Amino acid sequence: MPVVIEAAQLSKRFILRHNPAGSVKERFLGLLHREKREIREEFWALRDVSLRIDRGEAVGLIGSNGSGKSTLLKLIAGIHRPTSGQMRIARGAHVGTMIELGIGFHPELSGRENVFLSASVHGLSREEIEAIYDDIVAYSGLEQFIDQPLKNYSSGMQMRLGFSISAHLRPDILLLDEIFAVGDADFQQRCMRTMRQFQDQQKTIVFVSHSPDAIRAICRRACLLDRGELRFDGSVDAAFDAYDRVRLARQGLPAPPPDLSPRPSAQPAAAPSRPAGWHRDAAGGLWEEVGQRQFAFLREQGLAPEDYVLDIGCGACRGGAHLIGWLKPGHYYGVEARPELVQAAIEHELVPLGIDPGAAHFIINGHFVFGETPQFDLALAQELFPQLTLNDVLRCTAAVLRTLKPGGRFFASFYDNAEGQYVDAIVHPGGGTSYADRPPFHYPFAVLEAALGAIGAKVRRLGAWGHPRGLAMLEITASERVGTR
Amino acid sequence: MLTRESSASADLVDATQAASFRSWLRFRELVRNLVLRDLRLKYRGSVFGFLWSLANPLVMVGVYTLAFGYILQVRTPAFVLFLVSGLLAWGYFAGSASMSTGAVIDSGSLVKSVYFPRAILPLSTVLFNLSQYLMTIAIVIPLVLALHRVPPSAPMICFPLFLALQTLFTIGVAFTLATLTAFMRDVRHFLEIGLQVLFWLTPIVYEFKSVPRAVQPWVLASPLTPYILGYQQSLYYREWPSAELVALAVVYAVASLLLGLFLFRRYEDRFTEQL
Repeated sequence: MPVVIEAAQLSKRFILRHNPAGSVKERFLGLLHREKREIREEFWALRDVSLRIDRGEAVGLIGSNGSGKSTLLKLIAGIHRPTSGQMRIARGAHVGTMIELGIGFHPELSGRENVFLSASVHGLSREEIEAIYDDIVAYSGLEQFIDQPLKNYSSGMQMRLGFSISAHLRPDILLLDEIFAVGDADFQQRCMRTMRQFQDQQKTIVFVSHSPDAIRAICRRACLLDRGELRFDGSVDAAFDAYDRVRLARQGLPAPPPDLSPRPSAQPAAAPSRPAGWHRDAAGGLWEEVGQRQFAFLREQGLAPEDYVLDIGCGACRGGAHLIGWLKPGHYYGVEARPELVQAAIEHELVPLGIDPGAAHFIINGHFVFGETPQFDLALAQELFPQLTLNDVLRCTAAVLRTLKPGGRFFASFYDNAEGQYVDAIVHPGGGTSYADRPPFHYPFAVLEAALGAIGAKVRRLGAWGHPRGLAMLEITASERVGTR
Repeated sequence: MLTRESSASADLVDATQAASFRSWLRFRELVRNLVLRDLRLKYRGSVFGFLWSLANPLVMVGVYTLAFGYILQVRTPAFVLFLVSGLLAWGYFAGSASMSTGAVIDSGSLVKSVYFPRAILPLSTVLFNLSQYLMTIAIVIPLVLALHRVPPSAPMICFPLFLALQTLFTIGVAFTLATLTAFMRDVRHFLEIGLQVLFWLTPIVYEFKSVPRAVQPWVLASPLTPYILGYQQSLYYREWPSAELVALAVVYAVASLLLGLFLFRRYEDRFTEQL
């Protein structure tokens, strides 16, 4: 299949203007007052992105807000010009943008007039618009209203008309931005059907969405953008996996302790709508696999039902789902910085599994302050150390050791820098990537051993333990020198 | 390494170039629809519709005729015809200039979500004002000519020539103002004052020949002067315009267009990104 879109070392810089000097007065004031002066800041929306897309491919673009997805679409569409590098598309290919629905719509004009206006904004000639006009109206189902001014349409009707226009533009390359975020289920299904038709006709689709379901339904390939850099390009599942890791790294445990006190004057906070299973993604993906593996590992280590267990970063109850029901009631203590994660896990994991959440204690805290707890036989920090700086690793370990029974053990998984020297990035068996300077961090074992030794911990390297992303395991115990403070 | 790869896919073109290849011809329909949109928005829902855009210039003509013809007793015969030849064209220019300041910055969502030649926006505001002007003169000028019992005469065919040149001049001004406003919102206020000064500097309500010799260069410095004089020559004096007058009209038109296109093309990327 021929290449239809090719980005070569593409970068795009925007100049952000703070205190923009929109008027002469402000410009003048800027001369006198430093704080009123316009400040220009460079913002690299894309950095050195290289990528090729073949005809007939459907590629999902994922990444958090501000990661450069929309900028990339706009560069493909020719709306923006690259700052450096090249953005090239197949000669003669007609690029259709669905970055916004109903582009150019005006409320005072009739549906018919808006169809002509909006379609001509996309570069269609009058003959071309006349040829598809009847189809557009029929597909939108708005025949009766087409001569009414648009202001009399409901927002749903406007969307239907806008989508119907977009669906009939017949581009060779279709660029979509988040339109699935709007509209009811019926509308979304209609969108998906249209997308599939485009695919059947060998059209190329580039699709920006936050919804894994929507991307999976259309694309086999996905690109992950993070702060303007292309961090991953490959299968959809692997891309979302990489996305999870990036997001986790961004959230960078520990977070400040959340304010759990009720806010008297505020409106009852509407629950933010999140896709089902988001808590699993937030916990780093591979929920079931990792959960089972760590449960099996703890039992291999001699975990008994009457043991007291402290699970730090218990998050989405990946371990909790196995441990809470298996341990004696009240013996499981989970620590988590993000209350909404625990909430979601209780609702979507524990309750459906028939596990009584009352049998567990959840401590919401991001500073390793555990409050009143019993002494633990066993503590677990799974996938936590890669998110912590060395200082926080020490802080966490010191706090855990203080709550362990004599002879208690603390198991912590970490990314092992087996070479022991300074290495920027390491790809581990299973595909996990760790970094020296940003999360997920890797540490040489010798560094952890020495640092933890300095605060009175004895560290043993258990090495690989079957973690799907190649994290290694540490066993940390208190040496005699750990004080009772 | 990369150059080698790229040569394998030689049939690719720059995305921004690809977008502008299809440009002008394809987007004729957009220009038409934008002009139609503005016309519809202006007249739809009002009882008298198009009559309103006749009312404004006619009231102006009435007021100026009263002030100059009767109160100041200016000795210009057929004063209404004199006034109409210049005043309506001035309205066309001033309307285009004011509207063009918002041509790009008020179309943010359009500019941000789809590619089309941005120059279409100021262009269509000028064309919208032109179509209003044409509709107005189509009624007013024959009416006034009939009122003064002026028979058709050959120099009247120069009218469309000056109109075409004024339109080119106005398009240049529209590009310039659309660009400047994007960087400095004050342009709108400057323009209001500037238009006042320009109006009195241009021989619209007074005859050029009655201007003292020492002041004449100043009057000619108003870029609108050659066009207004051209209209007056063809409709009021009904004499063939001098070659100098035509040359001056061409020079102003070309200069304005070049300046406008240069500014617009140079800064169009930058200000569309900042909307």
